[in-house]
Amino acid sequence: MPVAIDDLRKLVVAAAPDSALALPVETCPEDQPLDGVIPFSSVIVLGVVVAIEDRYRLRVTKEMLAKAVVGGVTLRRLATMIDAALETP
Amino acid sequence: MLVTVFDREELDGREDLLTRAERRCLVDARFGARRRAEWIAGRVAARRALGRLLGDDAPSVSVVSAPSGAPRALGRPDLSISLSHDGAWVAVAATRRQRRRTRVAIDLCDARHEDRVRRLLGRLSIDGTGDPLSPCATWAALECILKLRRLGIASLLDARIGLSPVEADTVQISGLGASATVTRAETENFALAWAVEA
Repeated sequence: MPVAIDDLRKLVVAAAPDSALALPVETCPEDQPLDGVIPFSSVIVLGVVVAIEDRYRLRVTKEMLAKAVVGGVTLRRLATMIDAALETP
Repeated sequence: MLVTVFDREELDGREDLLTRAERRCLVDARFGARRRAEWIAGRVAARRALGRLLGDDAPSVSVVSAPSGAPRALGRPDLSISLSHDGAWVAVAATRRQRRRTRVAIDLCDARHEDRVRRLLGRLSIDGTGDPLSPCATWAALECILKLRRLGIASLLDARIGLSPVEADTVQISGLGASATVTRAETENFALAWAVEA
């Protein structure tokens, strides 16, 4: 079952050091690079990784994340990364 | 090398100080409001720092974004500059290049992130020796090396990272390319780490 983008929006906002600053993620287009929406610092990126690992019970590898961030992290790319990981036996 | 930290209050809302090239870069970036404000503050900070480095109160050099997003002194390949934004602070490191490949990097971690950063560091594989650094100092040092080597945050995930204090204010980091030495400073408000590599 595809990962819900709205679920990811909540994870990103919760992973931000200042959730109020991350609120635009709740409504941004899913293909918009998050770096242009909020100050998408490495603290948030790794926080999102940890949150994804906890939420979906998977391990995000360097290769998976590197692929997801090419061209800028977007909600859709994160969802695709998770979907691919969940489909891998 | 020049390292300096500015309070965002000194920088915010000073779009009027941007050069024409910086304005064009800003328009092209199409940032959201908050990222836009951060970018402007970073450029104002960078140009002030370059002014100190060059001994020129109003340097005409423009600080634009490289395709990677990293700051670049337009038309001045002899300068290397690095920026870090976090919370109320903007940190800048700048140097005159001794060689074409000389690169400077800086990272600032706001002390308010300590609990969050501690949790994130728990996800990574880090072996430390000597007196442990604070979570924010560790994070700033790692981010500094990522910038120096132009590595993405993904590089941290599967790396076996070694942290070894060399002196009170320096730490050697291994596991992210060749070992590198980072200089650090810490206040009650933030941890700062910077490095230069030829």
